[in-house]
Amino acid sequence: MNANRIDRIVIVGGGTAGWMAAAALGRFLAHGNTRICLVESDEIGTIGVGEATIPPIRTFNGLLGIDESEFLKATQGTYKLGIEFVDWGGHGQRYFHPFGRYGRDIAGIDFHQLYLRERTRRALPDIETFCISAMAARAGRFGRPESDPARPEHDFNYAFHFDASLYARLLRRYAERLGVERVEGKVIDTLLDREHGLVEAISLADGRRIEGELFIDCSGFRGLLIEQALATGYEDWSQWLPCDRAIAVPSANVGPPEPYTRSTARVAGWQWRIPLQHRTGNGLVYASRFLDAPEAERILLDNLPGEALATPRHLSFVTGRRKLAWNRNVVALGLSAGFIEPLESTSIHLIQLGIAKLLALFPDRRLSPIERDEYNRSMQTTFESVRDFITLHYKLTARADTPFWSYCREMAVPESLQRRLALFRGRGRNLRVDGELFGLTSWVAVMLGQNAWPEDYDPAVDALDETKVTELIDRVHQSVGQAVRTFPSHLEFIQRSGAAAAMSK
Amino acid sequence: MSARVHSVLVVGSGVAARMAAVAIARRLPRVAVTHINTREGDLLEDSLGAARPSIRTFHDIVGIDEAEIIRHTRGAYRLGTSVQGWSNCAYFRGHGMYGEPLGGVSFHQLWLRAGEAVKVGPYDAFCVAAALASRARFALPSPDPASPFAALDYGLQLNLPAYTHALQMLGRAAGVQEMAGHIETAERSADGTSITSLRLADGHRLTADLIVDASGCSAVARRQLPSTWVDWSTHLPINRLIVARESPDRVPPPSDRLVALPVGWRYEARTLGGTVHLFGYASHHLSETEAHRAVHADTGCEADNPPFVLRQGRLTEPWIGNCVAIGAAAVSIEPTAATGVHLVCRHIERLIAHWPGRDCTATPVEVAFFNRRVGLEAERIRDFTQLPYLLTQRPEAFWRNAANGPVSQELARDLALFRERGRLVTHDEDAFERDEWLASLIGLGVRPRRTDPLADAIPPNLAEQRLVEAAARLGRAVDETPTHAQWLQRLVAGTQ
Repeated sequence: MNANRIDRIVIVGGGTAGWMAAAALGRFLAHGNTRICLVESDEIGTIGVGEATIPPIRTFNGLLGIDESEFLKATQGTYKLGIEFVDWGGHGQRYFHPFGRYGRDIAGIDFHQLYLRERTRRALPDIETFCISAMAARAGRFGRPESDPARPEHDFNYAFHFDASLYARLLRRYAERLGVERVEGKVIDTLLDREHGLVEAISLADGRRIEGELFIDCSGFRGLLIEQALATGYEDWSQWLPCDRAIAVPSANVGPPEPYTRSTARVAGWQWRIPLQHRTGNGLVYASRFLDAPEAERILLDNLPGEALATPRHLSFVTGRRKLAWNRNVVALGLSAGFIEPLESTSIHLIQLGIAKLLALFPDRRLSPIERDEYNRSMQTTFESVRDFITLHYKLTARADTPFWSYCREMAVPESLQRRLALFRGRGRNLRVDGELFGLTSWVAVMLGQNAWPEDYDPAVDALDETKVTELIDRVHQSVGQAVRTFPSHLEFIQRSGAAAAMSK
Repeated sequence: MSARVHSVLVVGSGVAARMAAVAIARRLPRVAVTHINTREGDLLEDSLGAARPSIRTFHDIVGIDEAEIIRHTRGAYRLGTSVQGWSNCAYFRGHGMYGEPLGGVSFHQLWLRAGEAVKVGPYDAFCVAAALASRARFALPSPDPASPFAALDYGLQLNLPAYTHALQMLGRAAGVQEMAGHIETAERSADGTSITSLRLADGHRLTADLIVDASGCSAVARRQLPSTWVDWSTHLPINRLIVARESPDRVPPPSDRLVALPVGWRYEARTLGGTVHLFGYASHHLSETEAHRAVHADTGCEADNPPFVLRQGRLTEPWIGNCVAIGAAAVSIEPTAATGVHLVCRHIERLIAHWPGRDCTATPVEVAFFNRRVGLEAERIRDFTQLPYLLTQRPEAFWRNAANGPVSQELARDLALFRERGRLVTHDEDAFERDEWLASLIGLGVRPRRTDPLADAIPPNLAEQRLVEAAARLGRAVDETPTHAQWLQRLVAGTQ
């Protein structure tokens, strides 16, 4: 055993980030000698809005050994097959970003390339009709993927919608069972050691002092330790992502929950709709420079699917990232590490990734810069790739009906994104970058969904027999349709699989 | 629809040119492919047929049946390389995985923690490819995730003369036009960045939309355009190659062998068609006479060439204007990590993936991506190839010099992270699997300063018991596989 092992970990803040960290660190590090405590205050309430996720959440729950149906039951959760984007490319247009794939490849050539050539030869239905998750979502159905090498188009992925505060509660029970200690209290001060400037302890309003060797800052946007104590600095990305406000409000369900998130573009931002078992989460993300708060609230309330169940809550933020997610002996997770609007449901994933990287690079008391630098470098890469992908949605709009959308259409984008756009517009190519969150399907979905049609298809497609490709395309279309018809409705699936929470009908 | 490439000239005479011509002809059937056979062999590219798993992707792309090509060209399967003489004991650099993670903890961390306890066994004992190779057996990867062979991967040992000839025939059938010729000069476009025509010694003038230079280190076409060369001779001091060949005397093993010598190394690759011994040495440490003597002493055969002068390094822009260099013409590096054929496969794969429009200068994005990715991969290959030089404890002056060579920033960071706590980062465009890096680092004797704290969650007794069980299970599975000799016999008999 290592004499320099870290024995005392303090997590500051008990929202989703805090309890996810507590659960994972408890699961992998709490074995006898390591003490983990989480400090949170009941005064600072967490927010019970619907939260949407992306498929890697399944891995996180899987590593913790949390059963899927039990999890959905405890969090009023539903399944999610992707995101529907409404009015993004232009007014009246909609497309689906699926957690699946389009069709299947032939001889290493991506399906969308086959599709691009085929549509120069005959009229074809929308590319989403070749994707099982998109079609199931449209039909309000859900079923589990099937891994059959003979029918690769039947393989897809899925994620969940759930109530984040209920998820935090579930993880709290889990973490406490593993010995994570919860400390009720409000942090009023951070004490640094004189020699190295490391955080030595935090002090609470009631006078208690909590010491630690490693601190996880999950205190939210203000970054109690990482920023207020260590002045780490923040990189502002609002030139590319100008939205800086959000309003959230739950509404009553008016029908069975849909198995997908919806994002609708509005005059100066966009509105989310996240269906849970017992209600629907709604919110408007907007740019205050183009829209004032009362008007934004009116737009949101005018566009709720059902009756509002609470007073709308207003939040403000600056899109960007903390310059160092890990500084000295403080690791920031969640909003304290950076904020990217929830357009592609990445918030929880970025927390999860931070935890996974921290576990993989877990330091000892000597706090070697090698591990810290590696952590910061890889978190930076991921944040930037998510930023580029979100920016793509704004950049690709054809809308010119409001000053906000005109700004987005005309704005300069990061060089990394410019190159990718140029590459796709030429011959529909997409480069794969290691460790990138959003893969080929995602890029193709947004590009084609927002009308960035390539000038040409990949010439390698010409090596394939035209008749065979035509047959394959028809066969995939048919097989996707058939598979979707075998799925039960989303609600039925939830009920049959034992995932229904007590309250839902 | 933008204008398409109608014509391609492939320049070169060896395996790289044949591979490029047939791949382009098959994958882009509307393109007219002409192969200018320059009849100048390139020893770096055309002596060693050790091919990584990327050769199988190449065969898929081109539509070549694997069993058929092995049978027809008298090649062999290849599971990896046995590396000898750099550290205290030999190690195996195998394809596919080493061991299985347990409870979210990487296998190598558990093995490192267990120490080299005799009861657990050496690192290689957990690699399927190594276990098969050590007993001259072979198996194909299994689609069943529960099978130990699910974690297996393999490449091929090509018998290059026959393989090159087979590709020539396939190319001809696919419509490749071949002509012999020596390139004398090139006419360039007004801005000097494209080749408008190539003039041959016999006066012929050839033009094409795209010129693929697969002529090996001499890069006879690409060198007609501006280029910047990054020299790696301080990283990798080998600058001479000698080859010696033997006729087949026994069934080839399913792996090859790399042996360290006092000045340089010997790479031994056996196929059904014969054996190749490639020697690499540094001319300022060994004279030509001494080198030939060493070849003879070591293998009993005579070298069949004067030493080939190798300049290790790469072009910063393999592709400029309408001329793209592939294989050794773009990246000249000693083949000790079996990357000769690999580079050709990857460059062709990428060229097809970034296939340009007719006016190449109008597609700068694709050209830039190609150059960037080829460059990144080349640098990872250089770093990986340099590992044995940097980490060896051999006392000879040659090796001590090499061990003090410059280290790239990425490699320095990776080594530091591994030495600290056994972590390894993955990089974009890495040609090598994470497990190959680990096998090399561990095989060369590097040990982390401390164990992974995550491993603490798994009790050492349990972990050791699982390791012992896994090795035993693997041993039993290997018992049931046919020998490599039986595989090859069946192939030759046409029943595989």
